[in-house]
Amino acid sequence: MVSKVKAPAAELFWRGLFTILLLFVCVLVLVPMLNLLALSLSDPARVSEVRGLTVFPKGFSLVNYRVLAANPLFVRSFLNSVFITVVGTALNLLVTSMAAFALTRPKLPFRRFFMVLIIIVMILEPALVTEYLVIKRVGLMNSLWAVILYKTVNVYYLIILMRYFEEIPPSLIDAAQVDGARNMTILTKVIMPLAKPALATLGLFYGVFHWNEYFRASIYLTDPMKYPLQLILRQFVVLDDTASLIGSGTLFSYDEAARLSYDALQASTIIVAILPVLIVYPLILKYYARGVMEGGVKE
Amino acid sequence: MNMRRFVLGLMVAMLCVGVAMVGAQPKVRLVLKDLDTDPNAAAFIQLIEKGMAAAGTPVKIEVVKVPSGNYAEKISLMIMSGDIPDIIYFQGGDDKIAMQGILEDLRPYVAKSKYIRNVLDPHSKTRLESYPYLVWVAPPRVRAPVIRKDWFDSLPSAKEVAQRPTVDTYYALFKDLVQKKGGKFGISITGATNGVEELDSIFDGAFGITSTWMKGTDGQWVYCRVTPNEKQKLEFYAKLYKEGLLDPEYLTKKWDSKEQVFYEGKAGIIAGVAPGSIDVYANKMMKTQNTTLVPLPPPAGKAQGLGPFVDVIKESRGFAIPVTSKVKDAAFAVLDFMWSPAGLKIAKLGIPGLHYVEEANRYVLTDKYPEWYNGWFGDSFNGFVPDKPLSRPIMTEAAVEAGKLAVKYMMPDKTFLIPEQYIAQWDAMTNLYKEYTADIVTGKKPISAFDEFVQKWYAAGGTDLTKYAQTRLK
Amino acid sequence: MHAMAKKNEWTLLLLLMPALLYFLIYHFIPISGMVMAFQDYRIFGKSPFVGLKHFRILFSSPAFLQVMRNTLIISFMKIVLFFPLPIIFALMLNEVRSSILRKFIQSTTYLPHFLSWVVIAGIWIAFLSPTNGGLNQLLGLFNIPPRDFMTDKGAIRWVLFASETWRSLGWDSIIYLAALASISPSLYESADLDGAGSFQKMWYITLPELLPTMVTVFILNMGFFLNAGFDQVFNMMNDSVISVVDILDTYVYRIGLLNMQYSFSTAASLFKGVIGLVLILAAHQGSKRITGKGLW
Repeated sequence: MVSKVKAPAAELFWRGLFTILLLFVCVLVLVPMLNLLALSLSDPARVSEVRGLTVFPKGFSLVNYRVLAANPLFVRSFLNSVFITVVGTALNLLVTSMAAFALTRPKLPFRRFFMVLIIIVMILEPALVTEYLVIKRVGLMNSLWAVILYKTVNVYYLIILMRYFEEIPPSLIDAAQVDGARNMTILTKVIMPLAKPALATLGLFYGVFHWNEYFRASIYLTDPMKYPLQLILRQFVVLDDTASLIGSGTLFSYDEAARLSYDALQASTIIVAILPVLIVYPLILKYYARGVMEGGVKE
Repeated sequence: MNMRRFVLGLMVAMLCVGVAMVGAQPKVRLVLKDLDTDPNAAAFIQLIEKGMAAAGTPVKIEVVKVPSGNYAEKISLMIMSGDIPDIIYFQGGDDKIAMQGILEDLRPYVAKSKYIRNVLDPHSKTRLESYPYLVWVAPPRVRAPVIRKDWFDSLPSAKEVAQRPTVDTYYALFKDLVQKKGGKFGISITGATNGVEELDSIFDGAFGITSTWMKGTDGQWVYCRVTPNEKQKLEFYAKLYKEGLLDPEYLTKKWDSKEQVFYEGKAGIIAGVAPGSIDVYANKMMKTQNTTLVPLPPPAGKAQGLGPFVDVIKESRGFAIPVTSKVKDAAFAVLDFMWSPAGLKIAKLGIPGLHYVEEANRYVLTDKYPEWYNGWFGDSFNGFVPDKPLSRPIMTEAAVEAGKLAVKYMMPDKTFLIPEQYIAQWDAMTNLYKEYTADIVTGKKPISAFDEFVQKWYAAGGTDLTKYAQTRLK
Repeated sequence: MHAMAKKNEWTLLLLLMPALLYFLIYHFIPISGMVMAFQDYRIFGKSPFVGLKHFRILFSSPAFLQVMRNTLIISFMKIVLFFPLPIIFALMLNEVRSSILRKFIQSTTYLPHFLSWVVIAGIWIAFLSPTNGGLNQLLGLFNIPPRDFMTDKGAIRWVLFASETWRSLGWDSIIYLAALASISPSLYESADLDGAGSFQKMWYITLPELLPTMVTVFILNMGFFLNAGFDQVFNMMNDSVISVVDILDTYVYRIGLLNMQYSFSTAASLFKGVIGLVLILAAHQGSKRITGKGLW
């Protein structure tokens, strides 16, 4: 029998230690990010003063962001990215949940076969050229869908979700079946509400995946009006014998452009890409509240 | 009555011919790196089409969009999927495609051309002869060292280098740059992507290294990087590094840092491709430090020259026409037109009203001119004689000087393409060289390790390759 | 009822359909292209069958052993050594009482995951700089002489490990935090009634609840054992450390660039895939034997 008298001092100590360690990790993570932010907001003439551990801008200037915003495709690409992310993630979650549910029902015909199949899919990624040819033949060249549909089902995530579904007590499902529920109903009314943390997590993973995606966009999209944000940001600074700027020529006198620092510009592209995620992320934290499962188990 | 009908008939006939001509205007699909995203592209193409129509060879040009990113990769993908434009600009990856017989032999076209054959430099002609699938009109891609003019003027050691360039005078200059000018180090190089190539472009010649493969005293060909000359050169580099004359972190420095350091005054010398990059550097140096650049001649020792060695076998970039094209002649006509006086005017001056303004007796380059890329169809200015003088020279004086040095001191290479069966070994051999060089220069290994390197190099495939070399080189 | 059950089974297949369709288009049709690994790919005309030629070239290169060794070592560090860290991180975070603090930590530590390796390489190279980098300055306070970590053959793999940890710790812990969130609080409540201390709760409740997730993640990662992180290595590699960090992917990338491209890199992918498959199945079986839980 464990003593009822706990040792609060010891616990407090450990908790305190953990908190300090975690905050230390935060510092390790935040300092470089703040450094990038500072770099992007510094006056170009004083950029060389920004050292590795500087977290406050030297001087203040929004010129880097102005250069970005001046790019005629900036707003458009932002909207494209939002579209790709929202539509893509919704599709991902739908298809993945359906597949995960089906694969966790022991009654699924050929279940073993499908399990091996998806493992193979996960490991053996086909060569880029062949994927390109198929996309071409299906007629999806230069379509946003070629980008959205890539990795509709990420097998890694699928398996994680399956694992999660399996943890749901079968008693709940049996109860629903006794009530006459069909598969689709079970999925939507029983499983998914209980799997909120997992779905939120996958939503985050898929969402971030779409938001960061640029490579597939770069090979399938030829119309600049369709480019997602990351593509525009990445082609900003070109390093190829000399460091040079693309596409902002019309808005700045050559002088001003010559004085810009590429490091600072690059930093601003990073900040712009991360900002939306930073804003959206805390919104899903509520799904990580403890006891989300509560109320489902009728013990 | 007859007259009227005759005139009517004539007009109808002319109309028909006119329509036929417009309809028969060949459409040429062109793919050029970064052209499709350039804001001036549409105006540029329009000018070209107008010019070509005026010259009697009308064409319609369609610029094929290429998704951004690694250009060579994207072009390969496009071609492999069967979508092949009529004029293809290659910047790598063409040899594979040429090997499969997809590219047209351009020699007959050049021979028949009106303008291109007159603007090709000797090295371009040699390249076309041995690899006739790419044509490119540009000066040899050689680097020249440049120093800030304000420091040049105030350092006697700099003037000494200009007068009597040797390894020792360069060394003295580096020392001065650090001691007297407060530079952190003498010369800034891009070690991460180029290793010591930028230093080599200055010093290879002085140490007697003049081509990739050199004939030894025994009459046998030997790879330049495993010779005693190379060892002496590396010893010199190690000395530079040890005494703080070289950037201690050059191994991790990329392009932008190399330049940044130069513009901030932490280094006094930089080596850049002449004249193109030098022009960019000079303009920027003027904006940031209000001084221009002075090109320096390479040091003289066992030999004298500026690197990298000029490939005389094959263009590394250029235009190709596929054998599958249905409008080959029209396609080549576009290339030829760009080197006619009319075409050159468009290519080098840009869009009228935007980049230059035409006045009664001269062309005035506007302050937007530096944004115009005048090398779309080739960096060369051969044959460019505008009908009216320009308000100011297109290239900075520094760039022009550097260009002259490059032509004077270029070193034609003696080498061959590595055949397929040696590719894997060549990769291993190259990495050995890179790693040993890095370790020796930075002092991690002593210069005696060089002999170890040579042994390993031969063991990793060098012996076989050297034997092969004897059969390929004359 | 039997008919109903049968119909239920087939509706399950229907639910699986969209996923299968995706796999068909993006995977199985293109995979027929894997046959390129056994040919000398030609754009036009027939590609001659060359059997195992490309595999032979792959394996016979003088660099292959070195490259494999580096890949295995670096992967081991990233998959095995790194593995417990996000778990520990999640557990520690779980103990923090203040929900504001918890939210703050959660909302910040995942950020580095978003940076591309080009950027992270830049940050770390600057941080490790022997002339004015943060780390060496710190060491200087203890009178330790500055060291060039990036070009140091002994240190570079640890740099790869540390930077990967820095990047992924917060992000990879998300999945464990999600798992933690779904542990029924009634389990903890009963433990409290029994007078269990925090540590016991963690050891007897939390960890076992996390086990399925841990096992799944570990086994899945096994499938990618030969990957070792191309982007990271490519951006952080420099001439001095080639012999210790050149991995399979960077090697294939270089060779692919110099001529043999598609057939060769396809052969390499196939090789990686087969090994990955073997590893996953082995991990799955092994885990079933040890912990009773596998992948399915």
